[in-house]
Amino acid sequence: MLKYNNIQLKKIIRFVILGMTLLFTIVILVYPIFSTLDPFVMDMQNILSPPTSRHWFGTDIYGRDVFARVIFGGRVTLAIAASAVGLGLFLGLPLGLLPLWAPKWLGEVVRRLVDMMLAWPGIFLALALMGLLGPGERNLVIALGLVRAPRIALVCHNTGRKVMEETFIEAARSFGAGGLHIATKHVLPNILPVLIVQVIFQLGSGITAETALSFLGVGVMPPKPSWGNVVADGKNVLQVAPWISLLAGSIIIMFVLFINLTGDVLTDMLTPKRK
Amino acid sequence: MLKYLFWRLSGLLLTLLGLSFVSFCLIELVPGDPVITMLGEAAAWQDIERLRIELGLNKPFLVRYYNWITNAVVHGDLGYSLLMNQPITELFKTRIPRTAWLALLSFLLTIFIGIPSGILAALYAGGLIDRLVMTVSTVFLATPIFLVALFLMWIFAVQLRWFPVAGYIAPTSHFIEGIRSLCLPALSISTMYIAYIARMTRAAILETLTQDFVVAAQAKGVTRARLVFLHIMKPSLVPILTAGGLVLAELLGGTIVSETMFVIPGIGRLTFDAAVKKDVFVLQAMLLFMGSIYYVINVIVDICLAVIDPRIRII
Repeated sequence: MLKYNNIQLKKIIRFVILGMTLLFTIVILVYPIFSTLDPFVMDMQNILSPPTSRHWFGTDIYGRDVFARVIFGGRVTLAIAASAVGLGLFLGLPLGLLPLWAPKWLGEVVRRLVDMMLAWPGIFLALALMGLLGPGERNLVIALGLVRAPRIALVCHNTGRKVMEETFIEAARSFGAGGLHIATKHVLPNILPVLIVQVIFQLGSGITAETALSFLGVGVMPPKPSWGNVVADGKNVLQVAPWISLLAGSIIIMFVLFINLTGDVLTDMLTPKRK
Repeated sequence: MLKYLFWRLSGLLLTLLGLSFVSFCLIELVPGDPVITMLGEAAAWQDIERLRIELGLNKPFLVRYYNWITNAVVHGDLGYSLLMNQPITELFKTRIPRTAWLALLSFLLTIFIGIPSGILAALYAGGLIDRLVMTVSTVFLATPIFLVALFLMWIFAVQLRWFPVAGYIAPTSHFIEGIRSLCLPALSISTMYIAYIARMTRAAILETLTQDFVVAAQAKGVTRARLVFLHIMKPSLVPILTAGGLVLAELLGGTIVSETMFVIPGIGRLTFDAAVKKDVFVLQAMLLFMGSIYYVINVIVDICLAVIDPRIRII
């Protein structure tokens, strides 16, 4: 985050960042319901049209409205990324907290396994899993979720371990509280702020990963739009109709940027200040 | 130091063994039969059965794991690519140098742009340079590699025609043209990591700047250049090196996207082709290879850190 001297200015910027993220999300989720735009309808008389007042982002090689495809594709991308982070949280949170209370050997095994899952670059593991599972949205969620899980587990574990050193944990122990009780009732609430921020950042990475895989052609399959394959459609006509890829790409960058900034803002708001 | 080395290296061997087992299991868990994938659904069952025996797929799981890993370690044989119709080791031999060039160039770009801008940002914290570095890095961190590649392609290859749109020329056969063909792919991989390294460097140096010895050195009258490059850089190097090691390992993931887009026949492209065509043996070898590189880099970084900072050597 940039350093602002003026507290007022900082508040305004926070407000703008959170507002923009919210606006983006709402437009992506709600716009398709009220709009007459159709991402599938083809207009062969009007292919590769540059941006006009009728087609804001122009049209692609089948004469489909690129703006509609970006909005509908955003919905698909966002749904997949969110489900993947959900799956990652579902797997990662227990795996991260388990070593804090389970028997030592089991904790060690889990820690090593999580570490091993982190040895592979995220995009590589996701691609390899997609290759093994085959394309499709369900598999995309599984592959991306499995990539997110160890990253979430690591953050939970590291933050949880710090909480375990606090005096109130010792106090709870002295009352005879069990390991599972401490993990869920004392550690979990205390790592929640960090976890929320982590979920936001993972959502950003999830969107990036989904668009990359769909762009490469192993994710969401056309004609169903997703941000990745809209950009991929445009790549083939980059020389004659650069606006397709460049506009769709800019939307992806902007959305991920605002999500990351939201993560920064939430870090500032939720986690206690350092001295 | 020797004791530290011994423990690190023996730990590495054990970890690699574990990694190979996990890689093998991951492939085993996948539904579908690689032989049927290769021959097609319509293949005669005799052919399927024959190939299965030829590949040793009829043997029990642990025997196959044992054979795979002993072949890999003793003979350097990683298996056979069904779809490329070549031994995987041969494929690796021709393709790894290409990816190595790309990764090396990306890494150099990352280090030589990322670290200086991080240092500058930290020394002038709150100033114009700092704001510029932080803003640009925020945008870079949000931009996936394939989009950087696309934007670079459009500006420098389509509009300005300074670089080729795609293709690979070996720098060993024609150095200038080779580097030229690798510029855009390398730059597209590194932007995200330049931002990451710049931020890590900035944070590390800001952390060091709060230490008492910096004030003491300043009070003693140490010149600014000496203060920055000797007193501040050395302790800051520990987190920077750790981040550098991580980046080097992650870069290899980036080569997949970059090589696919710029049509460079390296191992990144091989991984992509194997994933699309479901060549499980290649994916298995790649899982082992990529994971091993991560651990080997980690150990090298740890040893470097132990050389720089004696406190780390204590086990």
